[in-house]
Amino acid sequence: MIEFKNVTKTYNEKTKALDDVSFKVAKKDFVCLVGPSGAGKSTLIKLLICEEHPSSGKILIGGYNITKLKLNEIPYFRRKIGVVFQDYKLLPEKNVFENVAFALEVCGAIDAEIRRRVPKALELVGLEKKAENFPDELSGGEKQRVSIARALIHSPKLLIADEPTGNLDPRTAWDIIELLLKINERQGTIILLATHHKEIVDRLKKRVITIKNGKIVGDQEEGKYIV
Amino acid sequence: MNQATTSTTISRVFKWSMLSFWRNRLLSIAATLVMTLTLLTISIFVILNLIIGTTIEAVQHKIDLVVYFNENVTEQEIDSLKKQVEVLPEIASIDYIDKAQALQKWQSRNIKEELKQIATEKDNPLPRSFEIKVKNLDKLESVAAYFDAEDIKPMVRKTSLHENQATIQRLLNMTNFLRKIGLIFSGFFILVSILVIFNTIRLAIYSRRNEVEIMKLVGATNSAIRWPFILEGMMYGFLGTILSVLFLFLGFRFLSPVVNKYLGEVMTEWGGSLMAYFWSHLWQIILWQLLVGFAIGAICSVIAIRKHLRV
Repeated sequence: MIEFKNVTKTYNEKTKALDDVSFKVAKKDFVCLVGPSGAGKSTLIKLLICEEHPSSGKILIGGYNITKLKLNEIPYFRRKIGVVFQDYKLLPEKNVFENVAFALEVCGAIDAEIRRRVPKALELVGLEKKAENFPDELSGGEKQRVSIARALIHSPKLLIADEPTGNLDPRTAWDIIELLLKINERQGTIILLATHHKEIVDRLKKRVITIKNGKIVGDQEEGKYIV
Repeated sequence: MNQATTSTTISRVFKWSMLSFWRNRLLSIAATLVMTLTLLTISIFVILNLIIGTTIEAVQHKIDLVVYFNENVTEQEIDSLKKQVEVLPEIASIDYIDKAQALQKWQSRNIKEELKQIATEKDNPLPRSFEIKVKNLDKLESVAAYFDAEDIKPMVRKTSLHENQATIQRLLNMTNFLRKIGLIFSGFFILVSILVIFNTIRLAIYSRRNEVEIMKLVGATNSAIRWPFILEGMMYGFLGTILSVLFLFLGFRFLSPVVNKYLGEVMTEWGGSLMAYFWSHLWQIILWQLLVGFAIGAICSVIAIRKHLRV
Protein backbone atom coordinates (compact mmCIF):
# COMPACT_ATOMS: atom_id res chain seq x y z
CA MET A 1 0.00 0.00 0.00
CA ILE A 2 2.70 2.50 1.00
CA GLU A 3 6.21 2.25 -0.28
CA PHE A 4 9.19 4.56 0.20
CA LYS A 5 11.91 3.88 -2.38
CA ASN A 6 15.32 5.41 -1.63
CA VAL A 7 13.75 8.66 -0.47
CA THR A 8 16.16 11.47 0.34
CA LYS A 9 15.16 14.91 1.46
CA THR A 10 17.72 17.65 1.82
CA TYR A 11 17.11 21.16 3.00
CA ASN A 12 19.45 23.86 1.70
CA GLU A 13 21.87 21.37 0.14
CA LYS A 14 23.64 20.36 3.35
CA THR A 15 21.15 19.13 5.97
CA LYS A 16 19.84 15.71 5.10
CA ALA A 17 16.48 15.32 6.85
CA LEU A 18 15.95 11.93 5.27
CA ASP A 19 18.78 9.85 3.85
CA ASP A 20 17.97 7.05 1.44
CA VAL A 21 14.90 5.80 3.29
CA SER A 22 13.12 2.71 2.00
CA PHE A 23 10.29 0.76 3.61
CA LYS A 24 6.91 -0.78 2.81
CA VAL A 25 3.68 -0.74 4.73
CA ALA A 26 1.04 -3.33 3.88
CA LYS A 27 -2.71 -2.89 4.00
CA LYS A 28 -4.29 -2.87 7.47
CA ASP A 29 -0.88 -2.40 9.09
CA PHE A 30 -0.31 -0.54 12.34
CA VAL A 31 3.14 1.03 12.32
CA CYS A 32 4.92 3.02 15.01
CA LEU A 33 7.42 5.55 13.82
CA VAL A 34 9.88 6.38 16.56
CA GLY A 35 13.04 8.38 16.90
CA PRO A 36 14.45 11.37 18.72
CA SER A 37 13.45 14.91 17.82
CA GLY A 38 14.94 16.02 14.55
CA ALA A 39 15.44 12.45 13.38
CA GLY A 40 13.22 12.98 10.37
CA LYS A 41 9.78 11.80 11.53
CA SER A 42 8.08 15.08 10.71
CA THR A 43 9.79 15.30 7.34
CA LEU A 44 8.58 11.80 6.54
CA ILE A 45 5.02 12.78 7.41
CA LYS A 46 5.24 15.99 5.40
CA LEU A 47 6.36 13.98 2.41
CA LEU A 48 3.45 11.58 2.90
CA ILE A 49 0.84 14.34 2.81
CA CYS A 50 2.56 16.12 -0.08
CA GLU A 51 3.46 19.16 1.96
CA GLU A 52 7.06 18.67 0.87
CA HIS A 53 8.61 16.93 -2.10
CA PRO A 54 11.50 14.50 -1.77
CA SER A 55 14.82 15.56 -3.25
CA SER A 56 15.12 12.12 -4.76
CA GLY A 57 13.37 8.78 -4.60
CA LYS A 58 9.77 7.64 -4.98
CA ILE A 59 6.81 7.45 -2.66
CA LEU A 60 4.14 5.05 -3.84
CA ILE A 61 0.72 4.99 -2.26
CA GLY A 62 -1.72 2.43 -3.66
CA GLY A 63 0.55 2.12 -6.67
CA TYR A 64 0.59 5.89 -7.37
CA ASN A 65 3.79 7.85 -7.22
CA ILE A 66 2.63 10.81 -5.16
CA THR A 67 5.76 12.81 -5.85
CA LYS A 68 4.43 13.18 -9.39
CA LEU A 69 1.08 14.64 -8.32
CA LYS A 70 0.11 17.91 -9.94
CA LEU A 71 -0.75 20.85 -7.71
CA ASN A 72 -4.45 20.60 -8.47
CA GLU A 73 -4.50 16.87 -7.74
CA ILE A 74 -3.09 17.21 -4.24
CA PRO A 75 -6.37 18.24 -2.55
CA TYR A 76 -8.13 15.13 -3.87
CA PHE A 77 -5.22 12.99 -2.75
CA ARG A 78 -5.39 14.49 0.74
CA ARG A 79 -9.03 13.47 1.08
CA LYS A 80 -7.80 9.88 0.97
CA ILE A 81 -5.53 10.23 3.98
CA GLY A 82 -6.36 11.42 7.47
CA VAL A 83 -3.92 13.29 9.67
CA VAL A 84 -4.04 14.13 13.36
CA PHE A 85 -1.55 16.27 15.22
CA GLN A 86 -0.37 16.83 18.74
CA ASP A 87 -2.11 20.22 18.88
CA TYR A 88 -5.46 18.86 17.51
CA LYS A 89 -5.89 21.83 15.09
CA LEU A 90 -9.53 22.38 15.98
CA LEU A 91 -11.37 25.61 15.30
CA PRO A 92 -12.31 27.16 18.65
CA GLU A 93 -15.40 28.99 17.42
CA LYS A 94 -16.96 25.85 15.99
CA ASN A 95 -18.55 23.14 18.09
CA VAL A 96 -17.59 19.48 17.82
CA PHE A 97 -20.13 18.69 15.13
CA GLU A 98 -19.14 21.74 13.07
CA ASN A 99 -15.44 20.99 13.41
CA VAL A 100 -15.93 17.56 11.93
CA ALA A 101 -18.44 18.84 9.37
CA PHE A 102 -15.92 21.48 8.25
CA ALA A 103 -13.81 18.83 6.51
CA LEU A 104 -16.84 17.85 4.44
CA GLU A 105 -18.06 21.39 3.89
CA VAL A 106 -14.87 22.65 2.32
CA CYS A 107 -14.90 19.72 -0.05
CA GLY A 108 -18.35 20.61 -1.29
CA ALA A 109 -20.41 17.89 0.41
CA ILE A 110 -24.14 18.59 0.58
CA ASP A 111 -25.88 19.11 3.94
CA ALA A 112 -27.69 15.76 3.81
CA GLU A 113 -24.38 13.96 3.50
CA ILE A 114 -22.94 15.96 6.37
CA ARG A 115 -25.90 15.12 8.61
CA ARG A 116 -25.47 11.46 7.75
CA ARG A 117 -21.72 11.08 8.10
CA VAL A 118 -20.71 13.37 10.97
CA PRO A 119 -22.75 11.55 13.68
CA LYS A 120 -21.28 8.25 12.51
CA ALA A 121 -17.75 9.58 12.85
CA LEU A 122 -18.53 11.01 16.28
CA GLU A 123 -20.00 7.70 17.37
CA LEU A 124 -16.86 5.90 16.24
CA VAL A 125 -14.70 8.05 18.52
CA GLY A 126 -17.27 7.96 21.33
CA LEU A 127 -18.22 11.64 21.31
CA GLU A 128 -21.82 11.47 20.09
CA LYS A 129 -22.97 13.14 23.31
CA LYS A 130 -20.57 16.07 22.97
CA ALA A 131 -21.58 17.17 19.48
CA GLU A 132 -22.81 20.56 20.71
CA ASN A 133 -19.79 21.33 22.89
CA PHE A 134 -17.03 23.69 21.90
CA PRO A 135 -13.36 22.66 21.99
CA ASP A 136 -12.75 24.79 25.10
CA GLU A 137 -15.26 22.67 27.00
CA LEU A 138 -13.47 19.43 26.18
CA SER A 139 -10.56 17.60 27.79
CA GLY A 140 -7.37 17.01 25.84
CA GLY A 141 -8.32 13.45 25.09
CA GLU A 142 -11.73 14.48 23.84
CA LYS A 143 -10.19 17.14 21.61
CA GLN A 144 -7.92 14.51 20.07
CA ARG A 145 -10.98 12.32 19.47
CA VAL A 146 -12.66 15.16 17.60
CA SER A 147 -9.57 15.58 15.47
CA ILE A 148 -9.54 11.82 14.79
CA ALA A 149 -13.23 11.92 13.84
CA ARG A 150 -12.45 14.75 11.40
CA ALA A 151 -9.48 12.85 9.96
CA LEU A 152 -11.71 9.83 9.36
CA ILE A 153 -14.62 11.69 7.79
CA HIS A 154 -13.49 10.97 4.24
CA SER A 155 -13.04 7.27 5.16
CA PRO A 156 -9.32 7.28 4.39
CA LYS A 157 -7.25 4.14 3.91
CA LEU A 158 -4.40 5.71 5.83
CA LEU A 159 -4.44 7.61 9.11
CA ILE A 160 -1.29 9.46 10.07
CA ALA A 161 -1.00 10.35 13.74
CA ASP A 162 1.84 12.76 14.47
CA GLU A 163 2.51 12.63 18.22
CA PRO A 164 -1.21 12.40 18.97
CA THR A 165 -0.58 11.76 22.66
CA GLY A 166 2.09 14.40 23.13
CA ASN A 167 -0.12 16.64 25.25
CA LEU A 168 -2.00 13.94 27.12
CA ASP A 169 -1.49 12.19 30.46
CA PRO A 170 -0.54 8.49 30.20
CA ARG A 171 -4.03 7.23 30.97
CA THR A 172 -5.77 9.39 28.35
CA ALA A 173 -2.92 8.75 25.94
CA TRP A 174 -3.56 5.02 26.10
CA ASP A 175 -7.28 5.64 25.50
CA ILE A 176 -6.40 7.41 22.27
CA ILE A 177 -4.06 4.58 21.26
CA GLU A 178 -6.86 2.08 21.93
CA LEU A 179 -9.13 4.14 19.72
CA LEU A 180 -6.51 3.99 16.95
CA LEU A 181 -6.25 0.23 17.44
CA LYS A 182 -10.02 -0.07 17.19
CA ILE A 183 -10.07 1.93 13.96
CA ASN A 184 -7.27 -0.22 12.60
CA GLU A 185 -9.05 -3.46 13.46
CA ARG A 186 -12.60 -2.49 12.56
CA GLN A 187 -12.04 -0.51 9.37
CA GLY A 188 -8.68 -1.85 8.26
CA THR A 189 -7.29 1.68 8.15
CA ILE A 190 -3.51 1.77 8.06
CA ILE A 191 -2.26 3.62 11.13
CA LEU A 192 1.09 5.38 11.05
CA LEU A 193 1.80 6.51 14.58
CA ALA A 194 4.74 8.82 15.15
CA THR A 195 5.46 8.97 18.84
CA HIS A 196 7.94 9.65 21.61
CA HIS A 197 6.18 7.60 24.25
CA LYS A 198 8.31 4.59 25.06
CA GLU A 199 5.63 2.97 27.24
CA ILE A 200 3.08 3.14 24.48
CA VAL A 201 5.36 1.63 21.86
CA ASP A 202 6.49 -1.15 24.18
CA ARG A 203 2.94 -1.95 25.23
CA LEU A 204 1.53 -1.92 21.69
CA LYS A 205 3.71 -4.73 20.39
CA LYS A 206 3.22 -3.55 16.81
CA ARG A 207 5.71 -2.98 14.03
CA VAL A 208 8.24 -0.29 14.94
CA ILE A 209 10.28 1.68 12.47
CA THR A 210 13.09 3.61 14.16
CA ILE A 211 14.63 6.65 12.51
CA LYS A 212 17.83 8.32 13.57
CA ASN A 213 19.62 11.13 11.74
CA GLY A 214 17.40 10.66 8.74
CA LYS A 215 18.09 6.96 8.40
CA ILE A 216 16.06 3.90 9.31
CA VAL A 217 18.07 2.13 12.00
CA GLY A 218 15.50 -0.43 13.01
CA ASP A 219 12.39 -2.07 11.59
CA GLN A 220 10.90 -4.90 13.63
CA GLU A 221 7.57 -6.61 14.02
CA GLU A 222 6.38 -6.38 17.64
CA GLY A 223 9.22 -3.98 18.24
CA LYS A 224 10.36 -2.04 21.25
CA TYR A 225 11.37 1.56 21.67
CA ILE A 226 15.14 1.32 21.31
CA VAL A 227 16.47 4.82 20.87
CA MET B 1 -19.74 18.41 -9.16
CA ASN B 2 -23.51 18.22 -9.53
CA GLN B 3 -25.88 21.13 -9.21
CA ALA B 4 -26.78 20.52 -5.58
CA THR B 5 -23.18 20.62 -4.42
CA THR B 6 -22.42 23.65 -6.56
CA SER B 7 -25.19 25.68 -4.96
CA THR B 8 -24.21 24.41 -1.53
CA THR B 9 -20.65 25.46 -2.19
CA ILE B 10 -21.70 28.90 -3.39
CA SER B 11 -23.90 29.52 -0.37
CA ARG B 12 -21.09 28.35 1.91
CA VAL B 13 -18.60 30.64 0.23
CA PHE B 14 -21.03 33.53 0.81
CA LYS B 15 -21.58 32.62 4.44
CA TRP B 16 -17.85 32.31 4.98
CA SER B 17 -16.95 35.65 3.51
CA MET B 18 -19.75 37.47 5.38
CA LEU B 19 -18.54 35.88 8.59
CA SER B 20 -14.98 36.93 7.90
CA PHE B 21 -16.12 40.45 7.07
CA TRP B 22 -18.00 40.62 10.37
CA ARG B 23 -15.24 39.11 12.47
CA ASN B 24 -12.73 41.67 11.25
CA ARG B 25 -15.34 44.39 11.17
CA LEU B 26 -13.06 47.26 12.17
CA LEU B 27 -10.64 46.39 9.40
CA SER B 28 -13.50 45.76 7.03
CA ILE B 29 -14.94 49.20 7.74
CA ALA B 30 -11.53 50.78 7.15
CA ALA B 31 -11.16 48.95 3.85
CA THR B 32 -14.70 49.89 2.82
CA LEU B 33 -14.10 53.55 3.60
CA VAL B 34 -10.87 53.62 1.66
CA MET B 35 -12.65 51.94 -1.21
CA THR B 36 -15.40 54.57 -0.94
CA LEU B 37 -12.85 57.35 -1.08
CA THR B 38 -11.20 55.80 -4.11
CA LEU B 39 -14.42 55.36 -6.03
CA LEU B 40 -15.52 58.85 -5.06
CA THR B 41 -12.25 60.38 -6.23
CA ILE B 42 -12.40 58.58 -9.54
CA SER B 43 -16.04 59.56 -10.04
CA ILE B 44 -15.40 63.19 -9.20
CA PHE B 45 -12.42 63.21 -11.52
CA VAL B 46 -14.42 61.78 -14.39
CA ILE B 47 -17.37 64.10 -13.80
CA LEU B 48 -15.09 67.10 -13.45
CA ASN B 49 -13.59 66.21 -16.78
CA LEU B 50 -17.05 66.07 -18.29
CA ILE B 51 -17.96 69.45 -16.87
CA ILE B 52 -14.73 71.02 -18.05
CA GLY B 53 -15.20 69.47 -21.46
CA THR B 54 -18.70 70.90 -21.73
CA THR B 55 -17.56 74.28 -20.45
CA ILE B 56 -14.76 74.50 -22.96
CA GLU B 57 -17.12 73.61 -25.72
CA ALA B 58 -19.49 76.33 -24.56
CA VAL B 59 -16.71 78.89 -24.26
CA GLN B 60 -15.49 77.84 -27.63
CA HIS B 61 -18.85 78.77 -29.05
CA LYS B 62 -18.88 82.06 -27.23
CA ILE B 63 -15.46 83.34 -27.96
CA ASP B 64 -15.18 85.05 -31.27
CA LEU B 65 -12.23 86.21 -33.12
CA VAL B 66 -13.25 89.68 -34.17
CA VAL B 67 -11.47 91.26 -37.13
CA TYR B 68 -12.09 95.00 -37.50
CA PHE B 69 -11.59 96.64 -40.87
CA ASN B 70 -10.12 99.97 -41.80
CA GLU B 71 -12.55 102.60 -43.07
CA ASN B 72 -10.96 102.73 -46.53
CA VAL B 73 -11.60 99.07 -47.33
CA THR B 74 -14.37 98.57 -49.90
CA GLU B 75 -17.35 96.29 -49.50
CA GLN B 76 -16.15 94.21 -52.48
CA GLU B 77 -12.78 93.64 -50.87
CA ILE B 78 -14.44 92.52 -47.68
CA ASP B 79 -16.82 90.27 -49.60
CA SER B 80 -14.01 88.53 -51.49
CA LEU B 81 -12.01 88.15 -48.28
CA LYS B 82 -15.03 86.57 -46.63
CA LYS B 83 -15.23 84.02 -49.45
CA GLN B 84 -11.55 83.25 -49.00
CA VAL B 85 -11.79 82.83 -45.27
CA GLU B 86 -15.03 80.85 -45.25
CA VAL B 87 -13.37 77.83 -46.83
CA LEU B 88 -10.68 77.55 -44.16
CA PRO B 89 -11.17 74.22 -42.38
CA GLU B 90 -10.62 75.68 -38.90
CA ILE B 91 -13.56 78.00 -39.14
CA ALA B 92 -16.96 77.11 -37.81
CA SER B 93 -18.75 80.28 -38.89
CA ILE B 94 -18.03 83.75 -40.08
CA ASP B 95 -20.42 86.71 -39.91
CA TYR B 96 -19.95 90.04 -41.53
CA ILE B 97 -21.06 92.91 -39.34
CA ASP B 98 -21.65 96.07 -41.39
CA LYS B 99 -21.89 99.60 -40.03
CA ALA B 100 -25.63 99.38 -39.34
CA GLN B 101 -25.31 96.13 -37.46
CA ALA B 102 -22.34 97.40 -35.52
CA LEU B 103 -24.40 100.41 -34.48
CA GLN B 104 -27.27 98.18 -33.45
CA LYS B 105 -24.94 96.11 -31.29
CA TRP B 106 -23.45 99.22 -29.79
CA GLN B 107 -26.85 100.60 -28.90
CA SER B 108 -27.99 97.38 -27.37
CA ARG B 109 -24.97 97.21 -25.10
CA ASN B 110 -25.49 97.97 -21.49
CA ILE B 111 -23.50 101.20 -21.27
CA LYS B 112 -24.06 104.81 -20.26
CA GLU B 113 -26.34 106.94 -22.40
CA GLU B 114 -23.57 109.46 -23.19
CA LEU B 115 -21.34 106.67 -24.48
CA LYS B 116 -24.16 105.41 -26.66
CA GLN B 117 -24.39 108.86 -28.21
CA ILE B 118 -20.81 108.59 -29.52
CA ALA B 119 -22.15 106.66 -32.45
CA THR B 120 -25.30 107.68 -34.29
CA GLU B 121 -26.71 106.84 -37.71
CA LYS B 122 -25.30 110.03 -39.13
CA ASP B 123 -21.92 109.88 -37.47
CA ASN B 124 -20.91 106.26 -37.14
CA PRO B 125 -17.24 105.68 -36.30
CA LEU B 126 -17.84 102.03 -35.48
CA PRO B 127 -15.75 99.76 -37.70
CA ARG B 128 -17.06 96.96 -39.85
CA SER B 129 -15.94 93.52 -38.70
CA PHE B 130 -15.93 89.77 -39.09
CA GLU B 131 -17.13 87.77 -36.15
CA ILE B 132 -15.47 84.41 -36.42
CA LYS B 133 -16.09 81.22 -34.52
CA VAL B 134 -13.44 78.54 -34.73
CA LYS B 135 -14.03 74.84 -34.51
CA ASN B 136 -11.15 74.23 -32.15
CA LEU B 137 -9.67 76.66 -29.67
CA ASP B 138 -6.17 75.47 -30.40
CA LYS B 139 -6.55 76.66 -33.99
CA LEU B 140 -7.51 80.20 -33.02
CA GLU B 141 -4.01 81.50 -33.37
CA SER B 142 -3.50 80.10 -36.84
CA VAL B 143 -6.76 81.68 -37.97
CA ALA B 144 -5.65 84.99 -36.47
CA ALA B 145 -2.32 84.62 -38.22
CA TYR B 146 -4.19 84.36 -41.49
CA PHE B 147 -5.24 87.98 -41.13
CA ASP B 148 -1.65 88.91 -40.46
CA ALA B 149 -0.63 87.93 -43.98
CA GLU B 150 0.97 90.58 -46.20
CA ASP B 151 -1.97 91.05 -48.57
CA ILE B 152 -4.67 91.19 -45.89
CA LYS B 153 -2.88 93.09 -43.16
CA PRO B 154 -3.46 96.57 -44.63
CA MET B 155 -7.22 96.02 -44.57
CA VAL B 156 -7.29 95.09 -40.92
CA ARG B 157 -7.37 97.70 -38.20
CA LYS B 158 -7.33 95.32 -35.31
CA THR B 159 -8.06 91.73 -34.38
CA SER B 160 -9.54 91.19 -30.97
CA LEU B 161 -7.83 87.88 -30.49
CA HIS B 162 -5.18 89.45 -28.30
CA GLU B 163 -7.79 90.36 -25.75
CA ASN B 164 -9.26 86.88 -25.61
CA GLN B 165 -6.03 85.01 -25.89
CA ALA B 166 -5.13 85.35 -22.24
CA THR B 167 -8.55 84.17 -21.10
CA ILE B 168 -8.44 81.21 -23.40
CA GLN B 169 -4.94 80.29 -22.41
CA ARG B 170 -5.83 80.56 -18.75
CA LEU B 171 -8.83 78.33 -19.27
CA LEU B 172 -6.78 75.78 -21.14
CA ASN B 173 -4.07 75.91 -18.50
CA MET B 174 -6.59 75.48 -15.73
CA THR B 175 -8.17 72.58 -17.53
CA ASN B 176 -4.89 70.81 -18.01
CA PHE B 177 -3.95 71.56 -14.43
CA LEU B 178 -7.24 70.19 -13.12
CA ARG B 179 -6.90 67.11 -15.28
CA LYS B 180 -3.41 66.48 -14.00
CA ILE B 181 -4.42 67.03 -10.39
CA GLY B 182 -7.40 64.75 -10.86
CA LEU B 183 -5.25 62.08 -12.42
CA ILE B 184 -2.66 62.31 -9.66
CA PHE B 185 -5.29 62.18 -6.93
CA SER B 186 -7.09 59.28 -8.53
CA GLY B 187 -3.86 57.40 -8.99
CA PHE B 188 -2.82 58.14 -5.43
CA PHE B 189 -6.11 56.98 -3.99
CA ILE B 190 -6.17 53.86 -6.08
CA LEU B 191 -2.67 53.05 -4.83
CA VAL B 192 -3.55 53.74 -1.19
CA SER B 193 -6.76 51.79 -1.44
CA ILE B 194 -5.01 48.85 -3.04
CA LEU B 195 -2.44 48.84 -0.24
CA VAL B 196 -5.03 49.17 2.54
CA ILE B 197 -7.36 46.60 1.06
CA PHE B 198 -4.47 44.29 0.36
CA ASN B 199 -3.35 44.62 3.96
CA THR B 200 -6.86 44.14 5.30
CA ILE B 201 -7.30 40.94 3.40
CA ARG B 202 -3.87 39.77 4.45
CA LEU B 203 -4.83 40.32 8.06
CA ALA B 204 -8.15 38.58 7.51
CA ILE B 205 -6.29 35.65 6.05
CA TYR B 206 -3.78 35.76 8.88
CA SER B 207 -6.53 35.72 11.48
CA ARG B 208 -7.96 32.65 9.77
CA ARG B 209 -4.68 30.93 9.00
CA ASN B 210 -5.62 27.95 11.18
CA GLU B 211 -8.76 27.53 9.18
CA VAL B 212 -6.82 27.81 5.93
CA GLU B 213 -4.30 25.27 7.22
CA ILE B 214 -7.05 22.85 8.21
CA MET B 215 -8.84 23.37 4.92
CA LYS B 216 -5.71 22.38 3.07
CA LEU B 217 -5.18 19.45 5.39
CA VAL B 218 -8.62 17.97 4.79
CA GLY B 219 -8.31 18.39 1.03
CA ALA B 220 -10.05 21.65 0.16
CA THR B 221 -9.10 22.77 -3.34
CA ASN B 222 -7.27 26.05 -3.74
CA SER B 223 -10.27 27.69 -5.34
CA ALA B 224 -12.47 26.62 -2.41
CA ILE B 225 -10.04 28.41 -0.11
CA ARG B 226 -9.57 31.40 -2.36
CA TRP B 227 -13.15 32.31 -3.22
CA PRO B 228 -14.35 33.44 0.21
CA PHE B 229 -11.50 35.92 0.37
CA ILE B 230 -12.11 37.14 -3.17
CA LEU B 231 -15.75 37.63 -2.26
CA GLU B 232 -14.76 39.51 0.87
CA GLY B 233 -12.63 41.83 -1.24
CA MET B 234 -15.51 42.34 -3.64
CA MET B 235 -17.73 43.07 -0.66
CA TYR B 236 -15.60 46.17 0.03
CA GLY B 237 -16.19 47.19 -3.57
CA PHE B 238 -19.93 46.66 -3.19
CA LEU B 239 -20.30 48.61 0.05
CA GLY B 240 -17.86 51.23 -1.22
CA THR B 241 -20.07 51.76 -4.26
CA ILE B 242 -23.19 52.22 -2.15
CA LEU B 243 -21.46 54.77 0.07
CA SER B 244 -19.74 56.57 -2.77
CA VAL B 245 -22.97 56.91 -4.80
CA LEU B 246 -24.65 58.21 -1.67
CA PHE B 247 -21.93 60.82 -1.11
CA LEU B 248 -22.01 61.70 -4.78
CA PHE B 249 -25.77 62.24 -4.54
CA LEU B 250 -25.37 64.52 -1.52
CA GLY B 251 -22.52 66.41 -3.18
CA PHE B 252 -24.45 66.90 -6.40
CA ARG B 253 -27.48 68.04 -4.54
CA PHE B 254 -25.43 70.63 -2.71
CA LEU B 255 -23.43 71.73 -5.74
CA SER B 256 -26.14 71.58 -8.37
CA PRO B 257 -27.51 75.12 -7.81
CA VAL B 258 -24.01 76.58 -7.70
CA VAL B 259 -22.88 74.87 -10.86
CA ASN B 260 -26.11 75.79 -12.61
CA LYS B 261 -25.48 79.42 -11.79
CA TYR B 262 -21.93 79.16 -13.04
CA LEU B 263 -22.62 77.30 -16.23
CA GLY B 264 -26.14 78.49 -16.93
CA GLU B 265 -27.36 77.53 -20.37
CA VAL B 266 -24.57 75.00 -20.83
CA MET B 267 -26.48 72.75 -18.49
CA THR B 268 -29.26 72.29 -21.01
CA GLU B 269 -26.97 69.82 -22.71
CA TRP B 270 -26.96 67.87 -19.48
CA GLY B 271 -30.69 67.73 -19.08
CA GLY B 272 -31.02 71.01 -17.22
CA SER B 273 -28.94 70.56 -14.06
CA LEU B 274 -26.24 68.57 -12.38
CA MET B 275 -28.96 66.72 -10.48
CA ALA B 276 -30.72 65.77 -13.69
CA TYR B 277 -27.41 64.53 -15.01
CA PHE B 278 -26.95 62.43 -11.88
CA TRP B 279 -30.36 60.81 -12.19
CA SER B 280 -30.09 60.11 -15.88
CA HIS B 281 -26.66 58.56 -15.49
CA LEU B 282 -27.29 56.82 -12.15
CA TRP B 283 -27.03 53.28 -13.52
CA GLN B 284 -23.92 54.08 -15.46
CA ILE B 285 -22.30 55.59 -12.36
CA ILE B 286 -23.26 52.60 -10.19
CA LEU B 287 -22.14 50.07 -12.77
CA TRP B 288 -18.75 51.64 -13.31
CA GLN B 289 -18.09 52.04 -9.62
CA LEU B 290 -19.08 48.42 -8.99
CA LEU B 291 -16.79 47.29 -11.76
CA VAL B 292 -13.80 49.25 -10.47
CA GLY B 293 -14.55 48.30 -6.84
CA PHE B 294 -14.91 44.61 -7.64
CA ALA B 295 -11.72 44.65 -9.67
CA ILE B 296 -9.64 46.30 -6.94
CA GLY B 297 -11.09 44.04 -4.21
CA ALA B 298 -10.74 40.82 -6.14
CA ILE B 299 -7.24 41.48 -7.42
CA CYS B 300 -6.01 42.39 -3.93
CA SER B 301 -7.48 39.19 -2.51
CA VAL B 302 -5.96 37.00 -5.16
CA ILE B 303 -2.52 38.48 -4.55
CA ALA B 304 -2.84 38.42 -0.75
CA ILE B 305 -3.87 34.76 -0.57
CA ARG B 306 -1.35 33.49 -3.07
CA LYS B 307 1.32 32.99 -0.44
CA HIS B 308 -0.97 30.87 1.71
CA LEU B 309 -1.97 28.56 -1.06
CA ARG B 310 1.47 27.16 -1.65
CA VAL B 311 1.46 23.51 -0.69
